[in-house]
Amino acid sequence: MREILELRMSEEDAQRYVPPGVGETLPLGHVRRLLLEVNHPLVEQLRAIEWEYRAQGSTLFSMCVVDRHYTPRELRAAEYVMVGFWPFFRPTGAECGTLYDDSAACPHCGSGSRQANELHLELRRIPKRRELAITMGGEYVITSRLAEVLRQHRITGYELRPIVSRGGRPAPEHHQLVLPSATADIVPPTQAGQSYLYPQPDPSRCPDGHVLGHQLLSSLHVSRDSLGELDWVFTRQKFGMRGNFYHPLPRMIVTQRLYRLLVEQKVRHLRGEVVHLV
Amino acid sequence: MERPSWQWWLFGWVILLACVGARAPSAASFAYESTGGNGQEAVALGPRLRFPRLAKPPAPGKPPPAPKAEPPPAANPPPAQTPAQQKPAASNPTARGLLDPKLARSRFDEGMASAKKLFPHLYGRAKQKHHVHPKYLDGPEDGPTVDLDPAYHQLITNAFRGEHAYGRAEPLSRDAQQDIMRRVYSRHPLPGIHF
Repeated sequence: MREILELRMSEEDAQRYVPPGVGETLPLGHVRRLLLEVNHPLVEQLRAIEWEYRAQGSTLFSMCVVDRHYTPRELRAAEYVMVGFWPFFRPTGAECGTLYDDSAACPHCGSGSRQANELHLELRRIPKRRELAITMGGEYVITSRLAEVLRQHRITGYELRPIVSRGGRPAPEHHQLVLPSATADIVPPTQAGQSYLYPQPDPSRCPDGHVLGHQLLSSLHVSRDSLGELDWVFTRQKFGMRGNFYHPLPRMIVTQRLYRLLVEQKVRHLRGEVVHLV
Repeated sequence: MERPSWQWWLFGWVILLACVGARAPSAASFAYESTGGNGQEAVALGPRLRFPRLAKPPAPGKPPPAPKAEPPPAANPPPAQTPAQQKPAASNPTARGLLDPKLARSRFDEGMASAKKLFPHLYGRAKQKHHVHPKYLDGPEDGPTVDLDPAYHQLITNAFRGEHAYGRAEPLSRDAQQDIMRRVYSRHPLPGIHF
């Protein structure tokens, strides 16, 4: 497994703090993109500078994200795999007429709002070449073809719900993918925080424990007992923050059987990470 | 009544010439608001007539102001600082939220010129609404918008996506969103907002 830190900063700042030749300047010429292994010596230097910026109420980086890259062999050997289907697409369900009931939502983090009607989407904006996709608001969309494959392989742990257009016209080729079970319990040494270089304080963290933090900063460790028998399950804790379109989102965990099926079906933008069982 | 002599005619003519010389616009006094260097933008904005300022004579007893001199070069320039020793500073004045309208106008013109080169197929089409707080950064649906040329809109969109990749799972904090907007709009100002 390789942990790669992606940093983006202004070219002007990069010339001050980053040795020449490190990273690439993006096309418009104003932003330097650095891809560094997390144990690269420059990471600690940049962390110290970032702390100084944060002390002044600013930040050096416009993007600071850590990605974990596993080899296919590591992913095939894992019992459970955390999957993601980003990048998201827009508009979200809320923009197209989907209603959410926030009466039961947590007052601190906003998690726990319930979808109150069918998922309304702009049908022509659903990515055509993707079997599984996610909106910016965290709504999953699956094609009827992949849904049929899942049914044939007796995959468990999911429900399909209809998708309609803004005006209520049904979309026969797509369904909303819903996972009713969110039982997987995230445990230490999993780390969450505001960003990799400045993890704390993290205002996104929910005092009631619904949201662990703004970002997942390490590989995922989950209690084995909490997983159950289902092929498809969400984590109990979430990451992110409540915004206009964003919601705190749980992570999706699948069994090795389902992961192989998704790879076989050539699901695009499928990102897998090994889940460590504790 | 006695007719004025030729000396009076001459004196009057000199006074008239002096007045006209001080007031008449010379070629240099037709200045354009735009400094983009692109002829089309300059024509679109039109020339602005500026009268030259008359320098005030120094008050009696006060010496005239001395021109600003360049500071002498240091005999021993300080050694280059390591990144950790350097103090963080705002990358430009606009990082503090200050953007001079003339500078903004100039940068807008430069941006339009480069947008025209980069996206000629979009340039000049029907204007598009740009959300000042972009929706991909979680800006509100009903937030303020600005009508932009599609090419310039694409330039701004690409600048935002360069700062923070589109479609990531991790949302940005409010401070980080504000910071990105400051960085992008300091380079690509919005008409009606920044000037």
